[in-house]
Amino acid sequence: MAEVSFPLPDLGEGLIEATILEWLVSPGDQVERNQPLVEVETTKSAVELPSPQAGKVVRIHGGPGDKINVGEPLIVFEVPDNTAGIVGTVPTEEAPKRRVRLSAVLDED
Amino acid sequence: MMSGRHTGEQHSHTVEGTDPQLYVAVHEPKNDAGLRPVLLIHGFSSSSKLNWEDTGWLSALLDAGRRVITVDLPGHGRSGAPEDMDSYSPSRIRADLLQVAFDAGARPLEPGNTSSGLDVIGYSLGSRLAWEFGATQPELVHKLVLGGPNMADPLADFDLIAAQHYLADGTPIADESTAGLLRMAQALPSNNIFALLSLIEAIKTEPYDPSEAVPHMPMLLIAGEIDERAASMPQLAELAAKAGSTAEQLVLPGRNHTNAVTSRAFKQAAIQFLAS
Repeated sequence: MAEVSFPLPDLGEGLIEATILEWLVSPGDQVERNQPLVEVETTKSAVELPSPQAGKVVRIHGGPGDKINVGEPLIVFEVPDNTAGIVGTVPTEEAPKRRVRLSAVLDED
Repeated sequence: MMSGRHTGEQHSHTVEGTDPQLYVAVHEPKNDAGLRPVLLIHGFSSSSKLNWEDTGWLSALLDAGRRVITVDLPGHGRSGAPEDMDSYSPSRIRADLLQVAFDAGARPLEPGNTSSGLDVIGYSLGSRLAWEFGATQPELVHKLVLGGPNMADPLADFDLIAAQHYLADGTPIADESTAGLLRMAQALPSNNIFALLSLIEAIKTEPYDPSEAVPHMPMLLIAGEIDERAASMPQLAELAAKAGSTAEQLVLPGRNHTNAVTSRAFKQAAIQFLAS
């Protein structure tokens, strides 16, 4: 098993941080790709971030009311070793739109 | 077919002689529950994308097997920004929404047919439009969910003259509500600010009076606990009850007018309410 960490993605419009409203998953949960993970609020709007991949949640960062900067760790997944190498791939099935997606920070190993 | 995948288009059905240039999308669920379509009406200075897609509403409804109709209000999102003020009047918008719903396949309610009729979910200004739409379309609308609803439209008190002076030469706006609404409208590059001012001007000519016509279908009213723009939700529910309508209320702890929209409790309550 490998761990994959996803930071808070760039939310566009020059926003540099977001406040956690509510986590919709907990450590230990098995989540599906596109399953809602967390609600966050910026100075302009509130959004729900979908899971960029399937996997088991290992850690979540920040609780309701906490501010997280873009690029800081948001959630860590445990995934089978053979899939850890492809997590950086941008999902292609969606029609092109500006929906914010998380993308992985790959560990040095 | 993938859930959430859709082809949106500029709606071009002429209503009362002019094309409303509304951007409409019909979203098909992967597993259709066989229920009537759901029409989503977004709030002032928002869009289908901001109010319903980015917040997780669209995918939650599709996952529940609902067919969803989204429409950007005039001057908002990907809809056109007509120059004539009449395109922005609430009565004209309601007529356009009716046409949009019919073109998307909604049909009048038939007893015992769960695929007939239309469910409507509105937020803020969208709730005002949904209230009036439900009141005037009893043969079509099955149930209403009204998010962040109010007895009065805050846009009716908007100081248009002050806003125009501010836009022309930066003269500060004294009225805090006006300044806040304009700031919100300017924060989004997709907004056509002059179209939004036309909408406000049109709203002033047709102020919201929920007691004038009360919807008779079941309603669910939902607002954040600290949403000052929906502080009069209980009076709205009372008005509905006095008219003999069923109006349930749900308050979302700790939420305000901006962040009540993403609430899971809101979505789950709405989906459950509309499914029964």
